Amino acid sequence: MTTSEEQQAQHLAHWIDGDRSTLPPEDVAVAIWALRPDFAPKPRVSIADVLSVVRSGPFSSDDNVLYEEDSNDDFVSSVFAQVEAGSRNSVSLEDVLSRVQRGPFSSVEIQSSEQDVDAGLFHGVSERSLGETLDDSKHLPKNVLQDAPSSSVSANNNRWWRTPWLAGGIATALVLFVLLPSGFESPVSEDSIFAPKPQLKESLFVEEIDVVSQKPSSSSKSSSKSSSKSSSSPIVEAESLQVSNEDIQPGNEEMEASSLLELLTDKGVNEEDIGLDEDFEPVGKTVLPQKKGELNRSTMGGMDSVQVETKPASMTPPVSRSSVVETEVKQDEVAEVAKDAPTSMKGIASEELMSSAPSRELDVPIEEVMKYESVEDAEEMEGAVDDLDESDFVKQELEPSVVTVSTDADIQTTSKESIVSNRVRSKRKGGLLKGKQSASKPLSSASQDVGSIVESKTFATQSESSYQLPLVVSVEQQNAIQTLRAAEEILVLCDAARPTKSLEILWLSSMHLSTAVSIEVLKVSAEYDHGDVRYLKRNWLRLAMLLRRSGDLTLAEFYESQAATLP
Amino acid sequence: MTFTVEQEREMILALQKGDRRAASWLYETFADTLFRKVILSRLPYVEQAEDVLCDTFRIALEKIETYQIIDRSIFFWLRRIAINLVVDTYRKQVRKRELAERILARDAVHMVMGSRSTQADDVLSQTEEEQDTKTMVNLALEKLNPRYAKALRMRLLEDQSREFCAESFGISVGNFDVLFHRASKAFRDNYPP
Repeated sequence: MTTSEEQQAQHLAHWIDGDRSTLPPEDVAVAIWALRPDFAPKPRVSIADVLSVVRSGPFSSDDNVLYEEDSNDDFVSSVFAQVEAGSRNSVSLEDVLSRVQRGPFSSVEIQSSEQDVDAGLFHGVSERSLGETLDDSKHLPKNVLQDAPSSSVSANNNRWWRTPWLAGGIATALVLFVLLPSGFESPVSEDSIFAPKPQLKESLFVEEIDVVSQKPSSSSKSSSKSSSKSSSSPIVEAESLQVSNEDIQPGNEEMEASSLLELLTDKGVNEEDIGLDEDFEPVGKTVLPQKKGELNRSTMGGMDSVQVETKPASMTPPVSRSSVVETEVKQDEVAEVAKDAPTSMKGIASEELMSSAPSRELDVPIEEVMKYESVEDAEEMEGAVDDLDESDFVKQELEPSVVTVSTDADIQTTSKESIVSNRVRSKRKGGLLKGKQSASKPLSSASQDVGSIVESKTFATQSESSYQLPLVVSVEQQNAIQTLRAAEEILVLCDAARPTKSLEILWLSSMHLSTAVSIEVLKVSAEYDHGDVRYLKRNWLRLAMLLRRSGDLTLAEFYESQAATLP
Repeated sequence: MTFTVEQEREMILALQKGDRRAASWLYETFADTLFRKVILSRLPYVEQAEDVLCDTFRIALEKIETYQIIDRSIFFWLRRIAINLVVDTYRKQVRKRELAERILARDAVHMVMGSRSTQADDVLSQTEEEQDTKTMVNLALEKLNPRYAKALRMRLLEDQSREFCAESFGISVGNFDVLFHRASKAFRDNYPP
């Protein structure tokens, strides 16, 4: 029993004894209202409150409410005034008749109809109404009825097909219709800001793959350096050799030298212009190993590197295996940059990392990995992978244990869920690289780890050893308790004035007694239910487990429910 | 307040004509009993019980024209409305839908077998509804630890003092307070049964 519990209990006792200025806590109020409804406060509902919500029947006050609202609320009345003003018919008969172009009410025929009225053509229609109508028509604007020709008598000034922008739009559409299919490109001046600048093209997303020559001295040179040095080669000076990703067939992960040369030739570059050294040998296991001789046939001054640019194609596979190899080498650097970079940069870093990660090392499909573009998404993926390999396994592995050890539902759920959730939580804290490592971890080993932990914890719940509480009984008393074999001898040690200690004694004695005697002893725990609730709960859980073992399921469930009511 | 069925009939006729004094009479006569004996005993949460009470009288006043005067107090009509609203309140809570059905079933049994009274005086004399409440309380107490049930009975139903109860249990008054507090918490999980 804790101090706060004692205070709450004391407060409740005083409340029942007459100090009812405040309501009791809700968790105990149910018992009081149910057993003593006369202790409940008077309802704070009056008949006026009830009548105010009545909406139909003889006590309905809807009309009165609406009347009061209309008369008192200036804002509402002004809104209604606006609505009424807006809904008034602002179109007169003159406007209608002035727009009629055909039929008996067209403007020309109106003039003639004046004569027909006198001739009495409108039988069945009161002459007065017709006369009024036609009198109105006499008051039509003169420019409408007289000046305008009969075919164009209309007050409609919104003829959209006469607007000048329509002609311009149609002309533009026709031009685009003709020029777009032909791939027409207008000449762009060099001074224009739209002039192409090849060196800046896709600079942010370019994935460079340096095919480094065998010479260590030239291997570290970048393409920009080579272009600056190779002044004798005008083509290479102008632009570095570039092979776009569009030229490479998707799925061709290993680009061979012959295909590369063909592509270079298509680009207008001769083999002589490439000028590779004779003993050129690329770094990387896949780029140009067999065609080395062809590449070495010609030399080009200073051109010792070939730059292959790949656009950041969304779903295209990596250009070559060498990109994978090189990106693997840079993986740590990228991950570190991703950690330190701001959020916007993290997405780029992780995207590069994820897109270049070798899919065969993961136990999840690469499409699953590609879905997660940012660090946060990668963590989600990590969690998903963990959920996949852990929670599913835990479900499979734990279900039998739930059945077998169902006497201690609280302890089970606490231990198992906390184990799994802690593992997932700790992995999520581990960062991207850690997450990838865990993602690449085989399912079987991960599940075995979780399974072993859960099994050990489950075993712990069986013996209630996980329900560690501070010992109230001294070591000498513990030794003395272990020597006792009869329930009467144990109960003598218990004292109602020391309920928590008594609960501890009962629990300790049940650890080495037979099941029947242990049940008998633990049942006495109910007499010390004013002791520490944790000790009481432990005793009831153990009692329920022993009862379940002995086959008394009804009583076991009873004590389980009793334990469940305790905090 | 004592009145006969004839007097109640006159008030109902006035209610059906829209007499606000009759509405006030109806509310003052039955609201408290309805709140404490019918609503709060089944829905022991004050705010929700007040909402149900307000809705009960709202529905009654809206439908008073359809009420047919019989040889039974209008209280039973109000009670029926209130219990239905309590059931609706529980049905809105997923965890307590079964509880709603139990209340409904128990009330149906009560309607058929239990109630014999016809006059409002019988209701207001706090015999019938108390008995119904006691039945529910006893069902809930049976599910409790016997010592908890004993503490609740002694303290609330028998209205015994703390000292007497503590002595009966053989524990101190402070310990009995803790015991009673725990018993009250345990009762909440089993009520309504």
